[in-house]
Amino acid sequence: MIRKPFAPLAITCIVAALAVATAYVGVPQFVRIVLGVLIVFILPGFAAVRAVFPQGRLALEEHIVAILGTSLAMAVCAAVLLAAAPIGLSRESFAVALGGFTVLLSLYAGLRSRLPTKTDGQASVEDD
Amino acid sequence: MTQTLASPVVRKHSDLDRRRMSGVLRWTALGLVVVTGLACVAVADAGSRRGYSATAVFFWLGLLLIFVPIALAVLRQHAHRRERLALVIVLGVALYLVKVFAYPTAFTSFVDEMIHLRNTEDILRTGHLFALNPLLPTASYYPGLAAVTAGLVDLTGLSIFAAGVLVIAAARVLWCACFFFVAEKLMGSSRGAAAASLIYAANPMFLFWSASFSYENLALPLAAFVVWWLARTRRSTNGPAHAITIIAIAAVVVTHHVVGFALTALLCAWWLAAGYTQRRTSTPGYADRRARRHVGFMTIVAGAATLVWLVFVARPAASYLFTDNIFPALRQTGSFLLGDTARRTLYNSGGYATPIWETVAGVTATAVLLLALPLALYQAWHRRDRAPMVVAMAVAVVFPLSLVPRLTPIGVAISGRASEYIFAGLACVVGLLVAPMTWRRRSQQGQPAAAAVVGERFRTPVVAGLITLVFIGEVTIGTASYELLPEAPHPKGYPWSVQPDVIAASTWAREHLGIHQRFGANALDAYALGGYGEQNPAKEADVWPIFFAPTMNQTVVQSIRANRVLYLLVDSRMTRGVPATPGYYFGSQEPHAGQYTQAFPVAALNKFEASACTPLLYTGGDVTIYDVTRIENGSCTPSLATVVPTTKAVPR
Repeated sequence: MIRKPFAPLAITCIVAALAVATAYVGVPQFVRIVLGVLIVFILPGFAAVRAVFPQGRLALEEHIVAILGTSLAMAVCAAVLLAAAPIGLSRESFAVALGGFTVLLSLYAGLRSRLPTKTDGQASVEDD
Repeated sequence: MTQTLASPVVRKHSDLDRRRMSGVLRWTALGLVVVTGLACVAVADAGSRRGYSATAVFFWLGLLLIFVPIALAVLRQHAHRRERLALVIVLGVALYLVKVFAYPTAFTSFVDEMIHLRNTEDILRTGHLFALNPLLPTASYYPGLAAVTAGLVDLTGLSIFAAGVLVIAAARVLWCACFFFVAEKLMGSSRGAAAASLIYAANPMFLFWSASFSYENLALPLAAFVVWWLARTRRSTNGPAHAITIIAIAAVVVTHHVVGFALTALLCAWWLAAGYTQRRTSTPGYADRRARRHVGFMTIVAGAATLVWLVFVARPAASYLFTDNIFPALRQTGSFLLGDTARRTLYNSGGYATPIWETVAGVTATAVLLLALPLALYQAWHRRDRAPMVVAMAVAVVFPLSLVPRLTPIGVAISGRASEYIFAGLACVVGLLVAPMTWRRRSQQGQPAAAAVVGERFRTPVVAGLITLVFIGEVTIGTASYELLPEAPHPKGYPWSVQPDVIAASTWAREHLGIHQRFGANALDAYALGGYGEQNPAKEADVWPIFFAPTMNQTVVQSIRANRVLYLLVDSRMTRGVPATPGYYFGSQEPHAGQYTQAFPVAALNKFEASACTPLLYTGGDVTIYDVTRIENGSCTPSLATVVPTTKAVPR
């Protein structure tokens, strides 16, 4: 059984893997839309924010915004990098890039959450 | 006895239940009102599409139903921080839907949308960047929006329009939330942040322009995210947190030129202001110094990345920005201040009468902001020990200056676009006028005085009313009255938005003539040909002689050959009315540009129909496509015998 803190990361990995798989396998468009929106707007950011804050120090609303912002930024960078590279931007390359990042970041987040944390290593709410 | 012991608990539970119930009721009521507001806007749009002119009432009613209840709710004294944030996002999304409702099927209202549509199509077709974009060469060198939209289209199978609407919607949510967080941190008050968010939503570009499929509208929210994230993590030694900042900066840099520079300038100002505030502090701590170093480092990253991209990748951008846009606007503003250039007539757009109340609203809105600014700056001055407040003050004081270019014909565009940036600082400073209400209440011990409660009860509606006034006025400043609602499919005069038959003709051209054909067309249709047809329209400044010549004379032949035009798209609606602002059919060099009193002469367009050298390829609606390849390659020379006599005078 997966421990509770790892369950969201495991689900993220599974959905990311599904999103990559649908780039190669024909599925109904509704499924493609749901998975495509998740892999562009949510999953990479979720994994990245969990990697940054394994103990979840952000408030819920900040967490959601950080997920959206990080996902968008990562999606933009990934799309531009792929299109600039010889491999080109395609359904497969974009899905593999975002899905791969998501899985790697989820694994890193999982590892970080098992390590002892330094309190000064966390971002804190500041007054400035 | 039992009752006495249980009563505080029971009372607490009942209070909680009552509060929860009132929250649910309030949200339900608010949701219903906002949905009703959106329905009013949809009715206004539908009526306008059917040619009813009186539907503008529903549009304004709809905007008020969206804005006023949310303004009242977010400024409410006892509103929870999360409630304020959620409502600010609801407002941003609802105002975004106003634009989507007006143009629900295609990008037709802003030419920039067609520029980025072309970029996205090029990336989808080739899988690579930097294909020539004849509509705006600079745009293809800032491919962030086009690339991520193309990726989303690839993954989901959605149309470019649907994917673009989703990307800009996500960006809108990101902007609203990040701006709220930054303003809240700056003012130390969620109520002040909510007021700042409302004031920002009142900027003239927010309702329509900021909701369009344009690269700036993705880059600006990403820049807001950078600022918030950096503010949140700059004291941290957490490496991955800084990696996210760098990724977000990179995303901004590859998405929009001006936002890249603006972000660099903002971070630099923050770093300098932090130095100033730390000097005022007797002994800044190690964490403070480290935080400032992080801001300085990110300034260097943003500045270096923006410059490297501009100089080594986006080479056409420098001349586009400075030579074509900023310098002419500044030159004309200077000339206006010296009295050499006449003032632009405000609220006057070719052929359309603006209701007088809109002029009054616009002037009043500007006056309210100008009056509030000194008071707000006074409040902000007392908080100058906070570096971000110093930055906000520096941005806010530019507001009155930014209004000057608006009085000139060229400067108006720069002034309008600058408001998206200047309102960020202005809103944070003016929002301070609302924030102290919260501080005063917090500082009070025990129950507030009855007079304070009564005063507060009136103050919230007054503040909400003033901000609504600013919102309505700024909408009239940012969008001409005839552009608030979508155009009818068969407009009586010359259209200001791309018509469905032009999109159909462009699509036909792509399918039957192939892409990248050299076309001649008027300015508006050229964007549709470039975007929807993936054609390469010749510069409007070069092709106007082809259309303006009264007969198929030497000028026509020479212009076709010189510009290697293969096809002409002729829109007969040109003969039905004068063009709206900026007042030309093709370009500012054409005769009578900006001074039309009569529509384009019919004979000047009919000459193509009568010539044997220009066979008709396509006709649909008011659009025809002529083949002029034989003139271009010299195999056919139009005979003067085919000249159609002029039936109308050349417009004066």
